[in-house]
Amino acid sequence: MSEEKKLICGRCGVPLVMRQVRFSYMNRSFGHEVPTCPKCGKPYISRALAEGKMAEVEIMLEDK
Amino acid sequence: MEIQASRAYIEGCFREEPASCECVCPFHLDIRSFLKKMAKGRWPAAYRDLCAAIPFPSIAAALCPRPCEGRCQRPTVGDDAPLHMGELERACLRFAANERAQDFPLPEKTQRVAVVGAGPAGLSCALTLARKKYQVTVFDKAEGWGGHLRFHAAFARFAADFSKQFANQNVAFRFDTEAAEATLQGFDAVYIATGSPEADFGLSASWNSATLTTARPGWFMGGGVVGMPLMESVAAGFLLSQLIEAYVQTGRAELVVERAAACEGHFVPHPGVPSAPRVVPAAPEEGYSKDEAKAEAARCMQCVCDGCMTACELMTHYRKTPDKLATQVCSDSNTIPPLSNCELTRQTYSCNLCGRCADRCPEGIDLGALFQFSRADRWRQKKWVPGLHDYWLRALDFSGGEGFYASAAPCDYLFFPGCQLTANSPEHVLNAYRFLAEREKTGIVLGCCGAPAIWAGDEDRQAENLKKLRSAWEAMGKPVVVTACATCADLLKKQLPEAAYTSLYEKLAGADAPRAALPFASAAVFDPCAARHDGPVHEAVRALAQSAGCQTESLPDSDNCCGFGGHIRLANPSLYNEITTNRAAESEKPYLVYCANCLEVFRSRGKPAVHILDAVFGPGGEGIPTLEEKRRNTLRVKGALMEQLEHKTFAAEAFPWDALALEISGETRENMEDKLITDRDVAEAIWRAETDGDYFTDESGLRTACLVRDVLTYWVDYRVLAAGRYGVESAYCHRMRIDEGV
Repeated sequence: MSEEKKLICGRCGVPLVMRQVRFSYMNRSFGHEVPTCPKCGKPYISRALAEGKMAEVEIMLEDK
Repeated sequence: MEIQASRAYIEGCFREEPASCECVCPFHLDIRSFLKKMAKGRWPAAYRDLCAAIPFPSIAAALCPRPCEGRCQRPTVGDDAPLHMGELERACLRFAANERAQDFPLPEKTQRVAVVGAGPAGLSCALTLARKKYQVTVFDKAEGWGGHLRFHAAFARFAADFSKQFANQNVAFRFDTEAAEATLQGFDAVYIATGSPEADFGLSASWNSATLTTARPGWFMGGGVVGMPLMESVAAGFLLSQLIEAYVQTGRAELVVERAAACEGHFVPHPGVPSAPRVVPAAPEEGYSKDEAKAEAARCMQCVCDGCMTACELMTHYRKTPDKLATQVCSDSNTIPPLSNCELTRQTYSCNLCGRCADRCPEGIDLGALFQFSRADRWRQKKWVPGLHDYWLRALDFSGGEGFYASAAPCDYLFFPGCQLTANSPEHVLNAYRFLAEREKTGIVLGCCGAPAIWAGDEDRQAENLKKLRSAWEAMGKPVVVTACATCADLLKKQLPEAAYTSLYEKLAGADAPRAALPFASAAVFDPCAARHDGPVHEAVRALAQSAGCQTESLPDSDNCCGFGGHIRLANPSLYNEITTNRAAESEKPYLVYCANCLEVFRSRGKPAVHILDAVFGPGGEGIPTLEEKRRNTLRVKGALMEQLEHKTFAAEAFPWDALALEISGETRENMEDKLITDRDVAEAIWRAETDGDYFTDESGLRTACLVRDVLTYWVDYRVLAAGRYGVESAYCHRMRIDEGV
């Protein structure tokens, strides 16, 4: 699923918007913009992001 | 962690020590480096190597008795003669005759050093000090330099070498001069190298052969005056220059870098090196031609121990020496994240822990044990990477939890099929147990040997699992354990050494077991790495195949890990792929295996492979069961055993999401199995999303559910097909945590 697709939060019924979300891994914490429900704040992670950029960062941090 | 703790794992490693030839060289010339350059025809570079170690190479080339040839390892290969160092040194001097002597642009120093005696001992000390720009004065009562070499037939050559080496040095030579006591008192240090015990200034008695000092501070002595042989005298000059420098700079005659302890060095194996006879010069009186010198130098095998360095893909990939690995295990342990970083994490979790390096090491050093030590250390310090081992640790929890079963009655034998064989080949486990129990009083334990916990370094889980196994074994009256998996056998023997062990295959080969035809008339046996030293099990498996009508052959390189060991698959997918692909290609023939993990690895590579139990109990299934099928297989075996032994019906723990019907397409399925995402994780994610309406959806009706577990976060794209029926389009996960909103 690409992030360009219009996603709607099932609980709140509103379209997602890009918003900064905090992530943490291996004792480090950082922010990244992902589609998020503006009402309940739940972020959405696409497969492309999880298996691409996120996986890259995971490996980088694990190696440290 | 103290450095001694990690270095203890590589104790005895001699990879870093000089080659055996260099160890016995009076000058500790780096002979490998010299010969490497000679073999390439790099004469000036080779000459510089000589000069860096030997003050006057012409003397060594002509007169060194060459102990190096006695410790050359060439003769261990096909009775070859040792490298002809004398001819090679002489050839180097001829080919590099135009090279200038070594000199360094250092500032002049003010300290004055007197050298008494212009023989080889005195001159080598004078030369080295002069290169460091000390004010050196050499006294000799003779009319020129050379000492006793003045009467040697080749003196003209030596004298030319002296002239060349001293050409750019500012040394005052006082020939025809007896050094008087009063004259010498004006110097900061004095080196007595008169070559004759009669001219020792009365200091011979107080000479210390270890420190080369005398009772008189600042007065040193070496060479023929104290009975040193010629080459040692020249080498001592070099050492003396260091001592004298230390003395004039600090007032203490102590070496900054201690002398290496005398040793003869180690010989190393040279597998596959062809024999090569010594090159004889076509014109003996002229010596080697350039091509002859290159060919002779190329016979040097560059002896270095690389048993472990070439043992496996991991070691060849990372190219870190045992010394470096031990150092980094310690430094990684002492990092303080995020202030300082680890360097060895990926390699630590990429080792199959198969012990092959230990087999190839002359000292039996097991680098896997070092990595294992590091894994446990990282786990204790919470520096480990849980995501790399999560699936297998959950599988262990299942094997020791819902999947665990131990028969109650006391018995003589305990069949321990292992969690992987049970999950992959449930019929084989039931048949084998039936077979054993019909013949002898045999109980059974369905459980895990603890491999996932051990390989993750998780000592708590390992201890908990072992406690369970031990109490079952004790309750059964401490029976002999019959294993079906080499890893179980290996790890149980280490964890529960008080038990006696045998293998299922020895039991089957020695009894009237049935035989079933295998799909191949001949196969290559892939012995699991953990059974490397288990001769009886090797024989039993071959005998079983033979009697089932299958011809077997062993692999030429038969002690490799299939790639499964150490659970490296998620830690290093590309290395895992490389290893498993290489293993699958070791023989054209189909593989006969006796480890469920090997079987799964080879089938996943498309390599035709069967389990040896197929030769006894008939086909045990083709392909690889899915993760969910493996779980169900285990529970099915447990249920069958409970019914058979206790007449009880087993009811598996039920969850609401078990009722969901999932349709998973081929590609999605493949991806889930590859990423070790189970149907249950997917079903739970969908069930929770649907129950709470907690999903994302797009215009096409595709929904996305999220399930956050302790270690991993799972996401599932799915469509509602009908009530309770879902089409899964993709499932993925990440190890990173989302700190808000989920």
